[in-house]
Amino acid sequence: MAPKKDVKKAEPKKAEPAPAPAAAPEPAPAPKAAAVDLSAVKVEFSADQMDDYKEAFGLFDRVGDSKISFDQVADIMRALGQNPTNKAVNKILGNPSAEEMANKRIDFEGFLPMLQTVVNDPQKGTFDDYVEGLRVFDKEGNGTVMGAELRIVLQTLGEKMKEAEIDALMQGQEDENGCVNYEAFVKHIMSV
Amino acid sequence: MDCHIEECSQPQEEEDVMDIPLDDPEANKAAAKIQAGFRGHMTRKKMKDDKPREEVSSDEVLNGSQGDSEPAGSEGLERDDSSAPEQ
Repeated sequence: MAPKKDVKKAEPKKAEPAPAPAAAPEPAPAPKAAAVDLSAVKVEFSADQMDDYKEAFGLFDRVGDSKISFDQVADIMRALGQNPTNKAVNKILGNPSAEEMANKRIDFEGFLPMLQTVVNDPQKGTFDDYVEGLRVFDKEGNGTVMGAELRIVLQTLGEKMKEAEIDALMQGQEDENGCVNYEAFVKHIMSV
Repeated sequence: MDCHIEECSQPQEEEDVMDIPLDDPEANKAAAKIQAGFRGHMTRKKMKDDKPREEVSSDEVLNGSQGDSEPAGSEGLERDDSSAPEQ
């Protein structure tokens, strides 16, 4: 005998209908912190560019499903000549969890608006940006910075770099006094 | 709390480590921009260096390349496998 307690409420046993089934390959993830609206991005690459991008995309696909994983996106963008910050890439990816980074995959069509977003970024670093940024550490105003100080800056500020990365970067850049001519350095950086 | 003791436990580098503006948002922003440029450069350089290997195909199967599992979020410059679509 059920206790007569059930008042007729609005929805008896209606569970909240879950919106997206797990398998749906939605480009826009669940509404987290203001992600980039990729569907609103107009992809404007030339046919030649598309060919290049498609080729690179294929190189990065190591599974063979014509997709790449989230954690490859930053690198493929760099391979294609862009210099996004990790923060920018994370935002474009919808601030994914570590698990999503490793496991979520996107196809070429899904990747293009992401790349376009980076290409369109008005805050892209220019030669002048880099030089001015380094000039801050030019204590004597003579066009050089101490290699050792630059290393510390790269390790402790911004998006910290690891020692091995910094070693690779700085190879051959310091003169016999351990100084780096930063304009030359930036030119070198931008040449590849 | 002034730390004017001569024998401070802090390792005193010759460079003034304390001059690094750790909390300055502008400095951090500038640093992040530069680091992004550096990372871009290094990735492209690595891709360039890897290219000859791709053309050689399976002649130089790297002994060290086991497993493609990258740690999440790695800007992995450690990825050292031949990603050529060999068929």
